[in-house]
Amino acid sequence: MFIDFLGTCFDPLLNQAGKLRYMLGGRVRVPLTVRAMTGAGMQTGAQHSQSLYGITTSIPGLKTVIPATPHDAKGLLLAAIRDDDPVIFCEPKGVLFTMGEVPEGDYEVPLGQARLAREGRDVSLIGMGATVPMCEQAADELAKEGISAEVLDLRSLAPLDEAAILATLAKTGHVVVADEATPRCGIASDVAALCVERGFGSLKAPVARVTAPHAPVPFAKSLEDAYRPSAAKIVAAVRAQRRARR
Amino acid sequence: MRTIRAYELEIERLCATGRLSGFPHLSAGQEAVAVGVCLLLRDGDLVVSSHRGHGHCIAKGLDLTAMTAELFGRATGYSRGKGGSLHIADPDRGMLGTNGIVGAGVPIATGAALST
Repeated sequence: MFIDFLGTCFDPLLNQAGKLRYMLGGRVRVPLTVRAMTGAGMQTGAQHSQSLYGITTSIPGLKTVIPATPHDAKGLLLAAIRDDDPVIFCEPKGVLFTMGEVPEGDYEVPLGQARLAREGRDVSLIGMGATVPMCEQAADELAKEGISAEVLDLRSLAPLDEAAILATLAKTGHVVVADEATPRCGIASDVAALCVERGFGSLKAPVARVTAPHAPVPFAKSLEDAYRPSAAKIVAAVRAQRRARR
Repeated sequence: MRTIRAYELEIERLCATGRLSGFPHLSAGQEAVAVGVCLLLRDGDLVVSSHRGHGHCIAKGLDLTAMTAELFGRATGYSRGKGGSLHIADPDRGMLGTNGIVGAGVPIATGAALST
């Protein structure tokens, strides 16, 4: 269902599923997978459009994944179901109807591995779920201006592939994180903190975040369009970042 | 009851033809519940509705034009277009709101009852 509905069943996830294995000294396991639609863009209003994976990511004991492609949706779901810990499996509405190759048979996409969606030299666009195609579209636009953009699809928010983030930062020196969620205490801030804490020497400009504003998701189409991140907003952030280089 | 049925059938038609987006939940077939309860209410009584709340709003006397404007996300809607079908409220008329979360109205109604 919608990740917004976590509100009505949060104790079983927060205080039980996410903590039992630790609290009981590793003598039990909780192999639970929760499927939850995330994100805005379908005019489902403020209670059916949130991107609350930042909350689940912040709770030790819960894992959170968010595929952007049909291939990863199948592979991550199988990995999540077979994992011995509770996994929140996010299904972003913005990529829900994406078509793509899906291999027959059994395969897993390991939890905790980001995907390098596109190689580039000048700037790293880091996305998750619905912002991954936005980053790819932004990379196409930037290529016309002679800017070579790398696109990293996080895929897994907890565990987080910190090595992949630091590797792309080391390569380009510029990081723009695009996230559908609100800006406070979220994945975009988390990635920015990682870059500053452990990749400061590589940074050639401040990390930029492209997120929703700190506000509930509006219903009206015009307001919702203005609320969401977009390829155009990512391109604008890259341009502003290049003007702010040291 | 006839107004509610006609309204819901028209909303269904607008959705089916793509003129109205979003996911309105209709209350056709539940008209008698809304009308039966609201007939017994006094003006100052409060109503907390659900995700199928158009009928409750109409039975409580809300304005159809402002309701419809809300469904279309217009600034002239009851919630200025920010809420949509699931968030229609008119506190002046004692309608405390439709609601997108099933069951969420119970504690709101309890609080409203305690406060009056």
